[in-house]
Amino acid sequence: MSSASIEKGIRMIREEIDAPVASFFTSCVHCGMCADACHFYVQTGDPRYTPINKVEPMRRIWEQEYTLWGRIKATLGLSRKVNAQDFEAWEELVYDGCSLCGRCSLVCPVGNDISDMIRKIREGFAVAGHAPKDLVGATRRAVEIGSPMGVRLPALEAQIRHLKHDTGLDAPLDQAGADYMVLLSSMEIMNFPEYLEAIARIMQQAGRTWTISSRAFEATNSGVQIGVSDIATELVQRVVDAAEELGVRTVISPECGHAYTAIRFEGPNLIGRPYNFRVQHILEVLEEFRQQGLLKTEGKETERMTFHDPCQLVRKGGVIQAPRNLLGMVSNGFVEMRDHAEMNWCCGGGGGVSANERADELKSKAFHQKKSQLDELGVEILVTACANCRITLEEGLEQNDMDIPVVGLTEMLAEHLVEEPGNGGDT
Amino acid sequence: MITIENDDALRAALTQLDAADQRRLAALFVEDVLEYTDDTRIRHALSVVMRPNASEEELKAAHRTARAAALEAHARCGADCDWSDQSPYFVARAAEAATGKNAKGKRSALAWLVAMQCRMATCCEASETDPESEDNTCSAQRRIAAEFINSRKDNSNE
Repeated sequence: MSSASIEKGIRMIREEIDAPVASFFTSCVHCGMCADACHFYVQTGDPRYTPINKVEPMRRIWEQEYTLWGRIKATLGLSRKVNAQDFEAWEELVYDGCSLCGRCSLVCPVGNDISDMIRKIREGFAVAGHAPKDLVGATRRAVEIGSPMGVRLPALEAQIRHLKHDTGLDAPLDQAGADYMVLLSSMEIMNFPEYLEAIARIMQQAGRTWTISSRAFEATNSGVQIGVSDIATELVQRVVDAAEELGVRTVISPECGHAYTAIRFEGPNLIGRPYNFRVQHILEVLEEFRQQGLLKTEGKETERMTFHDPCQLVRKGGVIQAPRNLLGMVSNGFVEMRDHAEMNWCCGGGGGVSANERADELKSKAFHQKKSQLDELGVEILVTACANCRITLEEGLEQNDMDIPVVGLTEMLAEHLVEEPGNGGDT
Repeated sequence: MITIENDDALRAALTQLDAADQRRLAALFVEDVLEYTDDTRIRHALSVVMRPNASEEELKAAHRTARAAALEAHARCGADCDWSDQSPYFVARAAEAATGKNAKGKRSALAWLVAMQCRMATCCEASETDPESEDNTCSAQRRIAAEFINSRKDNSNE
């Protein structure tokens, strides 16, 4: 990379050092608790993966430029400025070795949001040209095509045709005034089309109107993952424009962890204004339906099963009880993992890790944390609510020769809906 | 002799089959869409399911093989993908389900779930060239199911 790119990266990191970041660095007591909370550190034993160390270049810039002692040290040549070698060395730690799961932030005794600091330092690394090529490609496709996986409208239309053909249900496109605008992740479209059918069945039974925007159906936000706020803003704006044009009351984020926090929490800050619609994760919507008596299910699974909490959903969104209430409707065999809810361990594939092929080996190592949780339980089914978690879990289970099917909660619930005429009755 | 005219009848007929027959019929559904994949592991896994004397160990191994094939064929998160190239994945998913003991976490009959995966494979192939070709797969599944059920009846009458 050219020195100009590195300078841009340093400038961007400097811009990201706001009051909270400065106070976080000041407050850090070097206790190491964040290390023990990180699956990458715990499973590798490599101290480089200590979460606070992942933002060391940012800390040095902060110290050298914003503290008296740091300035003196720099002047006396007692500290070295961040350079190209640092970007080279930290790129793997910042992207491959962090799934932005937020567990480190949760355990920090002084309240440092380390995960958010890593999200911020990625802004500098992306500008400096030190982002993984797979994430760069995904981000480019998200901007140019509207999907990080290059999924275009005809693919979705084909699935909608399939849905109508095989169930008689519809997934209405561009229906103005609908109650809900449903977003999908490319992973769902490509790998788990059962999700779309599940939504159609549930909405039918609940008697709610819904729609999908033909020009903004993608939920994932590669801009957030790679750390380019301008792109993240553009992707959020597309959804906002579609939702406002259609006049929907609520936008539903799909079974995807980071998509949820991107549109729900980062989104309004990125575009600089509040939305005039609500954003809910699909599990929040389903829980509302449950509370309102709109979900009628029958039969319960008897197999021993557990729920893998998607990190963004529990740690950022606080959506903890909803999946348990919903599982209670369809399962008699639910058991909790040792660390669950807000303390759940990440699958290892979040924050762009699973999109980054270079990180595969490290991701597999990190999965052993989840494996140890599952080994203790001896479950027959693993339920989750994130398509990215789902495929990461499936890969990890396969690599470790563990025969446990992974099921999406929305899909499982739809399987148990009381079948009524017109509710997915076959053609 | 039964005939199956529509999906309601197909679904109802499938629920009458025991687990072993569900699996065998599911394998026949997958065989019908095998042209969409080059993965020889799928054909091998199906051959195990269709063998009446296959042992539990052989069935487990076939399931593991199909599951590995499905995972290898999935569209990777963030990767550049094409919907029309996705049919091998759905064939592998169908084979994975067909070789499994039952459809854990699902209420639908295993053979029905496999039928849906097979239709999705056709849907990928047909999306741009021939949107209606999924009809052919549906018709084929009804015929295959009717033939299978009739043959089981014939065998039990002998």
